[in-house]
Amino acid sequence: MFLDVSNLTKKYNKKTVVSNISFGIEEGELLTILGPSGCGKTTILRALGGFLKPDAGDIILDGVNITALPPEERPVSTVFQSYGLFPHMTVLENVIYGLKFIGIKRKEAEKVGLNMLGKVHLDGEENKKPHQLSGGQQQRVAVARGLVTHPKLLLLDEPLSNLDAKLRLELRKEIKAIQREFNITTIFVTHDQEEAFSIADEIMLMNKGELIQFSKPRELYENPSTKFSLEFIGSVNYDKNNNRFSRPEDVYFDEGGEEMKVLECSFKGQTIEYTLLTSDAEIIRMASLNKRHEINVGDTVRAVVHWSTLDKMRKS
Amino acid sequence: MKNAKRILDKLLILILYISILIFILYPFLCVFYQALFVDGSFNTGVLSDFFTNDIKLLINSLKIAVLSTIISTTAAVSVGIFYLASNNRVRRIINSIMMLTMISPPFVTSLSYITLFGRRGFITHDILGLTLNTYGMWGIVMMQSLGFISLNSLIVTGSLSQLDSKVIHSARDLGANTTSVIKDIIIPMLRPTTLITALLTFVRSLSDFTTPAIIGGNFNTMAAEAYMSMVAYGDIRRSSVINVVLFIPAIFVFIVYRKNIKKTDMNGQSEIEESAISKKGVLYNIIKAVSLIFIFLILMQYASIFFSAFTKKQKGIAYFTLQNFIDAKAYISGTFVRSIAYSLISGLFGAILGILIGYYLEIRKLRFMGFIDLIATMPYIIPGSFFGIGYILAFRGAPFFLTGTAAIVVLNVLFKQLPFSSKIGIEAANQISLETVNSVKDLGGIDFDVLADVVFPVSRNSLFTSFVNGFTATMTTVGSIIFLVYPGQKVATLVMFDVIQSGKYSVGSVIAVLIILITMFVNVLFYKILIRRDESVS
Repeated sequence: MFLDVSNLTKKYNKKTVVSNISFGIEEGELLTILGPSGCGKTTILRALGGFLKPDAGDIILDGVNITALPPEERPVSTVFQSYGLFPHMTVLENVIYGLKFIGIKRKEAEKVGLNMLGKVHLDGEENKKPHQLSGGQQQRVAVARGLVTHPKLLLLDEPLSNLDAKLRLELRKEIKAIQREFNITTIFVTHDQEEAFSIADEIMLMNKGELIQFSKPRELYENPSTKFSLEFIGSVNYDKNNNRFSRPEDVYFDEGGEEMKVLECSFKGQTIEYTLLTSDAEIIRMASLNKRHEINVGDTVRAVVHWSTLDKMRKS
Repeated sequence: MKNAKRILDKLLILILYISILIFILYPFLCVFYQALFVDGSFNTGVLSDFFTNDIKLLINSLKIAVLSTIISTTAAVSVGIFYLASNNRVRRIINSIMMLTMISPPFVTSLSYITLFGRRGFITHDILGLTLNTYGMWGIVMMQSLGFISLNSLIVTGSLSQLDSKVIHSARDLGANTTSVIKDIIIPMLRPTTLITALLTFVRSLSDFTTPAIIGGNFNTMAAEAYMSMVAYGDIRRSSVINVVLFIPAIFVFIVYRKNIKKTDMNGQSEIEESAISKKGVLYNIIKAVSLIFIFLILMQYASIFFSAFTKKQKGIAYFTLQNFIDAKAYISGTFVRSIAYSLISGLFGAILGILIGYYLEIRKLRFMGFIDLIATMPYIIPGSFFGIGYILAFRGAPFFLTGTAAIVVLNVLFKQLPFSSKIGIEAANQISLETVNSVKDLGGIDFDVLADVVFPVSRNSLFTSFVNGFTATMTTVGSIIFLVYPGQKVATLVMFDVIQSGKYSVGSVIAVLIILITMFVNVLFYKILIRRDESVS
């Protein structure tokens, strides 16, 4: 593994915020750490960046144990949620700041910096101060600044959370493209599952300081290994008697199906979501593509539920 | 009912406008008139006389101001950076020491200097066996610098505490070690704060007459001369002229201050955590050494004051006694009651005026309120002696006849500290959302109801803070009221100043100790009330 984290543990005043976590990723991969707030994802990122000292565990990057190194000596760059841009420096000065510590002369550094700014579509903005840029542009400066020193690991701490929805989609694509182009090993922290699904090669799902599931996005959705994975990701129908589940899109209208009553009907445009009541008084959530059905609350419909077993799932 | 409230509202506005114009602007103009008009006609004779005959005074003042500014600003920036790199326990200790000096009379420094280094000083005479003349320029510079460090450090740490820690993290992440973080990030980001701190120090140094009066010896400055002209020779014109000259740099600083104060805001969201900077590197260690030396010197001051208050010397050996307190009784009968009463009044009314200014400026956005606020901020920068002489000139005749009354002293201290309370009032008003104000009106209230039902109740914490500040400022002030108080009605700081000037240092120390204890008691009391209120709310 290119990055190998083993038995990482961090406590604050006896409260364990990260509990004995081990994981690894290959070079050039993008790992998303996903979880609700307070799950320990930011703590892991800070430990990787060198901003806090873990109580136990090792971090090995490209064969070197970096656990005890201060941030300035780690080949790791972080893009912070608030970007952490230097307000008194220009965009270009921000981007090339890291180069002076690896012995690159100012002239040369400026060339490298301008080139990097081009890659993040900020040509012509190099002499502005950060506060003169929009949120999305500031974000790009932070990414450019992080990449310019060619770190071995790039850490992104909820980098899109301060931006509006449309810009978030755009930048998500850009970050992914840049990550591919530079083939840089990246860890991306988010609490937004849609974001995680669309950008990640691997997802590490966390809750209350523990690693819940580490898998590819599709695997996480289709084969959740715990009840937390099942319920945190997407919407779900869970049959606890038979320990099986069904996603809303796995419920279909079918003339041969069971008779159910429509309790709620919520129009989403592309899809319509229904809440159905079975004859056994079970609630079933269903999502159907909008095929111009005329189904209203109170109607009786016939539907089939496709159940998946949860045999792999731990009881927790 | 509504009509009565409307009238009350108008009345409040009128009182606010008139009182600020009469008690700040008018005395201010009187000094100019006195300095620049002779028998009703414009005459710069006295002014040009000053520049030809007394240029030495100006040079002396500038020398001291430049040196004090450089030393105390450098020290304050060092303390600020040291504070930033320290853990919370050390930060609390530094804060407490700085706060201690804020609640002490300004010339405590000079008093301790004399007790430690004077002709009979504890260190120079008793330990080293020397009889030195340590009075003079360098004495003034050192004591002023030491005296200004606390306030300056509080300004710097206040500004640094708003710094976004992610900015420092980013720099380290990109490879910056502690020296680079300090040089490339912290010092440049502190530039506006440093500028303001330096300018304020410069003006304070120029207008400080107590330090040169106590330890200046033969070295005379403009502020000390203005004080002496007035108090010793009754030459109010000469005193006015010197104050007008002192005012020129002050007004310049005032303009720069108003322009730059917003730039000192660093927009950070959270207090910087302890581990933000690693304690390494040559630069950091120099900063640490400088900070520790100055913090040690500040502590020494207080140790020496308490020491000399509780000891007497017999054959060169100090022993513990309460005799000094008994001796001091003769000097302070009645003065402390008077000091406390004045301080309570000025704290209370200052807090109320501050909130009113905030309300009418930020919520009501009254047309002339910006100008009124500008006037209200002026005492921040006007030399204390200027403000005191202005009061004599303005209120000695008809229709006021306030000379020698308690009212002139109370009004003076009240309006002198108005810049601080108006700042707190404006901040408080800014925290009230327009929606809240509109809701009152939406539900049938009028402007006065907004003030009575929202602004005052919501600003209760600000009122408390403002009150404590005003109380403390008045308890420790000496600058302007020294010209206004008649012998029979002295307040504690003035008695302290007198006894020090006549060489009764242990009595001076006793008064200093009492002033410190009283202001500390009030500060702690109100701080505890504030904390309890906050806890009961949450």
